[in-house]
Amino acid sequence: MYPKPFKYYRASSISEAIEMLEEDEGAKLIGGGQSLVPMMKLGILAPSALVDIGRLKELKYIRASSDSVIIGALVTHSEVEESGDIIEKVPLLAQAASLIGDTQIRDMGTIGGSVAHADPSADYLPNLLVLNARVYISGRSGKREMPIAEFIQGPFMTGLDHNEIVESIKVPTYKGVAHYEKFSIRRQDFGLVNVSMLADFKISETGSIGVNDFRVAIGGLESGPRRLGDIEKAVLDREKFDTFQSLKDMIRSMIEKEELSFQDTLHGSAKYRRHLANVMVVRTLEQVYIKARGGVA
Amino acid sequence: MKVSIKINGKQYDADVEPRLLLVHFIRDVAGLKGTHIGCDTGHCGACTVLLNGKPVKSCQIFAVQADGAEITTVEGLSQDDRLSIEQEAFVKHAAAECGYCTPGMLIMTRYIIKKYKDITRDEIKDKIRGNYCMCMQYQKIVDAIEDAHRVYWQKGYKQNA
Repeated sequence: MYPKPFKYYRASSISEAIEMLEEDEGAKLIGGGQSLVPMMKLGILAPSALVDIGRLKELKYIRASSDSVIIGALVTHSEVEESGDIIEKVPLLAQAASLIGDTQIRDMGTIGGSVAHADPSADYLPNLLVLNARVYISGRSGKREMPIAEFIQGPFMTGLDHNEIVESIKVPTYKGVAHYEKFSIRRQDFGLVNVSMLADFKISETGSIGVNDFRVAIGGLESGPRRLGDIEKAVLDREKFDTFQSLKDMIRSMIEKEELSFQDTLHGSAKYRRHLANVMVVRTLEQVYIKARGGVA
Repeated sequence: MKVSIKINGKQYDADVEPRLLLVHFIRDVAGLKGTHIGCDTGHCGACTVLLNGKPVKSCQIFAVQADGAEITTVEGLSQDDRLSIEQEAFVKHAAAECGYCTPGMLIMTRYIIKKYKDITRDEIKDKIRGNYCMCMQYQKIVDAIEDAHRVYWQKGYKQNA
């Protein structure tokens, strides 16, 4: 399967890439190309030109500080997975990266590309939502930033203008533990349902749980990933649970009542995915609890 | 568009359309037929090559993206007409049934054995989850990778990637 012919430009800087995008309304950026090339080969996308930013060193860095890690847009999923700084400071992101596709895809695919592409089932997205990440954008009018929740606006829809480029993602550090669960038919597939959860639990000797922080996001919805704000609020408002079972029961009953509309495809019907969501949220909670107690999930 | 790509140590220069896939550059411009196209959709990994040392699916990359890069294909694994450590292991364990997935599997083997001093069987399986074998030789393939890994780290590696 061959895409339609296109022009190809290699940008030697971010500003050059922006100029090239402005010259052609149908131009698209290519970094690792692991989302773009398959879509072009299937005829889903037919850009008139590709602006290759894959070699821009200015977009390849991982900068850790005491309260965050800033990841350049061209950092590959393999690099996120293996980064000592990310593993130490925001391990949830390294765990999520390790579940993307396969080795070959992770060696080319980039975090900037994944965020700019905004596939509703993308592995990074529910995790970036839970982590309250921020997206840094470079454009003709300068630099700006947006919280990831505002940046992702729908399936394959973002707040990026045509002549803008994702420059980096800032990921704040967190207290507590976090876990990402992905339900897929094969490990290398997109998940049917993805759940990301972060919790700062204080577990007493009697087994009661004090909740200092609780965040959960779900991916694979028709509209894209989102935080489950009402479940978070209910858990945080109650603040203390006598047993893990009581926390689990509350979350289970809330997720069963949540309005969630999933994609309906050959790999999994909307009904099946909706059922999976109930199972996956509880399963992720169990893994978070194990981690909170010092065990390995 | 003019591109210059080094494959297995040899430079190949050509004027190509931007949409020429790297796998076709390798097979048709360089004439190296060892890299296979299995699914053309980036799932099966039969087209796997090393690009600047990293395994990539060459059917999901345009040749223009690889301009100036160094590629290793299955033909580049052996030296001096001797089988490489990976190839020896695959022969020993009969890990190639029809041989279609084999080049991709061998490239992954080269990458895995060099990169990881310690690796478990489960980790090997996870690393090759982007390589499909329709003949279902997986057990033998994983046996071969384990063996190649053991040989590499015992004997030391004298052949270049």
